[in-house]
Formats: sequence, C-alpha cells, structure tokens
Amino acid sequence: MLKPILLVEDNPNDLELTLIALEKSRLANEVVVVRDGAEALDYLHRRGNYSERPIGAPAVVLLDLKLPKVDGLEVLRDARDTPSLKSMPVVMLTSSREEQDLVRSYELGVNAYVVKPVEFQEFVRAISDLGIFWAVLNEPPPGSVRYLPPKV
Amino acid sequence: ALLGIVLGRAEQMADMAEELGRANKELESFSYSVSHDLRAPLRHIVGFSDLLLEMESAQLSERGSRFVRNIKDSARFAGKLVDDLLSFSQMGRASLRPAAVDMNSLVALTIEKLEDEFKGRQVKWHIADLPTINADPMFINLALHNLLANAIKYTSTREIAEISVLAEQEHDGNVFHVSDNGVGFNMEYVHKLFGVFQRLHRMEEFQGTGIGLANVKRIIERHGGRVWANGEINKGATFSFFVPNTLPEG
Repeated sequence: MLKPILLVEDNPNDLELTLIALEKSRLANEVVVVRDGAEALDYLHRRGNYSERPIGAPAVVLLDLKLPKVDGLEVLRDARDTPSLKSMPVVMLTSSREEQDLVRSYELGVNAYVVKPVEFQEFVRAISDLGIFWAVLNEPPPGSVRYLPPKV
Repeated sequence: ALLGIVLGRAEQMADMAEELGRANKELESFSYSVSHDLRAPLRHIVGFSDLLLEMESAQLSERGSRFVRNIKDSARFAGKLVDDLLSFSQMGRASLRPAAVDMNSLVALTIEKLEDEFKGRQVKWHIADLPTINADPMFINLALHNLLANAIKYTSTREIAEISVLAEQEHDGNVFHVSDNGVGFNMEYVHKLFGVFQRLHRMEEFQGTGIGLANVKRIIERHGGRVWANGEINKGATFSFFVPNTLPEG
C-alpha cells in the first residue's frame, strides 16, 4: 500500500495550483487534502472525520505556514511531540522566506523548507522533486512502509 | 527642582523608547504580512497565466496570448517590487553581523549566480585581486549583486561587454569600483541615482524596480561607508563604495 501525501493548504488558488503540479509529476501516491491546521491534526491523530482512516503516518506532509485555526508551526510542534509522528517527514511549503519562520521551523524539526517559486514551471518542478524525494527516494524511519516504484 | 526636571526627562525618554519599540514591532509585523500575503496572489496570477498559455493556447488569438503574457509579466514585476521593497526595509532594520568577507570569492560567486542574466552574450570580466574586509556578508553580498546585475543589464546593448571590479586600499578602509562599458548616464542626474524609485531609463529600455542602487547606498551607509558614481552617456559607468575598517557601533 502506497502511503498518501498530506497536503495542508487553505488558499483555494494555491490548492488548485499544487494539485495540478502534483498531477503533472505523476506520483502514484494518493493526495489527501485538508484545509486548516485543526483538520490536519485530526487527520494525523485519526480523530473526528478521520477516526476511521487506516493507521499510519503519511509519506510526507506538505504544510503551509499560515493556516486558519491552527497554524503550520503549531501542527509541526504537535507532530514532533507525538511519538508516532515524531519522525514523519514534514515540508514547509510557503509564500515567503521570512527569517523568523525559517528559524522557528527548523527549531521545531522541519525536514525541509520550500518557498513556492513564482513561475509555474518551476513550481511544478519543485513539487515534483519534493514528491519524488520524500515519497520515493527517501528511506523512511524504521517501521514504516517504503514505496518501491514499479520496474518498467 | 533640578532633580524633578531630570526625573521628568528620564520618564519622557523611557516613554519615547517604548513608543519607538512599539512602532518597530508594528513595522516588523507589517512587512511580515506584506511578504506573505502580497506575494501569494501575485504568484497565483503568474501561475494561472502560465496554465492558460500552456493548456488553452489553442483557444487564444495571438493578441489574447500577448495580453496573457503582459498580465504575467506585470504580476511578476509586482512580485519583484514587493521583494525589493522588503529587502530595502530589511536592510534598514536588521542588525549587522560582521565577519571576514573574502571579496574575491564573493565576486566569483555573485557572477556565477548572475550567469542566466548574460547567457549568450559576450562579457569580458576584469577582476582584480580583492582584499578581505570586515562586513556583514549577507548585506555586502546583496550590494555587490545589485551593482554587478546593473553592470550586466546596462551593457546588454554592447557587442562585447566589459565589466571590471577593482579595489584600492586606504589607511582607514577599502574602496571598490565596479565599472562597465555600458550606456552610462548623464552626470547631471547623478544625485538621483541612489534614490528609491528613481530611474534614468524608460521601462522598455531597461527593466528595473528603481530600488537596487538605493539599497546599495543603504547597505554601505549602514557599514559607515559611502557610495558614489561616475558616468558619461554611452561611455559606461563606474560605481564606487568605501567600507571602513572599523564599523559603526550597533
């Protein structure tokens, strides 16, 4: 079973652009979309609407920084404080390179910090690189299932 | 009575310091949200324009495609303006973190970074042996980037561009000169060169936000140095800056 990619994004335009980019990168992983930090935590902790979902952390979380209700940094902190989510790859995907955000993200143990490129082609490349790296190339923490791409 | 005056003054000073701190905080959070919230919609405009050109170009007339490209260019330019203004304001506020800066490797790195800007053009670089100075590497990097990017830009009409970087040692610091054989400028307007949003060329000739040189000036002045320029129309320009050995306090 392929682990899904969890996309946490509140802005509808960003959501559409990111989904098109993911589609173009032809990753086989399912993409689960949640629209704010509270929903992301529900998904990660299998609560509320997500209490029935299969056990296991996503292959990677693509996390926006500014989110309604619970922001990206709070989601990250919560994940790092939860034993089962401690080693789950989290990538901040954000609009800007503000030093304070970078510092706080890394302090909280983010795995990567990506500023969304302005040009769509570059954005597609960034998303596709991220997906391939975290969902395919990266060796996940022990105990989780790694996706092996089918041999052509 | 004197004690009363002194105490009153001290209280006033404390109030002012508090007020200043508050204003600074406000400015900080203002530029923070500008950087996040203003960049996002500009990025969306560029993104959807790209998609329109890519996926629907069959439905678009040539004129329609041109309009979409104009939309995209304008949004991209607005994004650049936001970035440049933010960096200008940041260079005014952020504290200097001085370190030993090897200007040779910094120039080499900057040229490498700018490679895309002169791809397919003939550029002759004359880089002298440059000293190592005491300065904030990030700040100086940006100043050098702006000066070299300008030299590349304003020589774009030359068959062979010649750009040189020289240094002169003075008893209390170092002077650097960035010269080019580009379109130059009229010395009558030299006082406007380093102002924010001051441009000496029309947009169709040379693109730019009009912030680059203002930022160079700000960066060098934060180091206690100074900037100046010499040029002649169609005969190139030289931009010079002085960085003192001893940086100002704070």
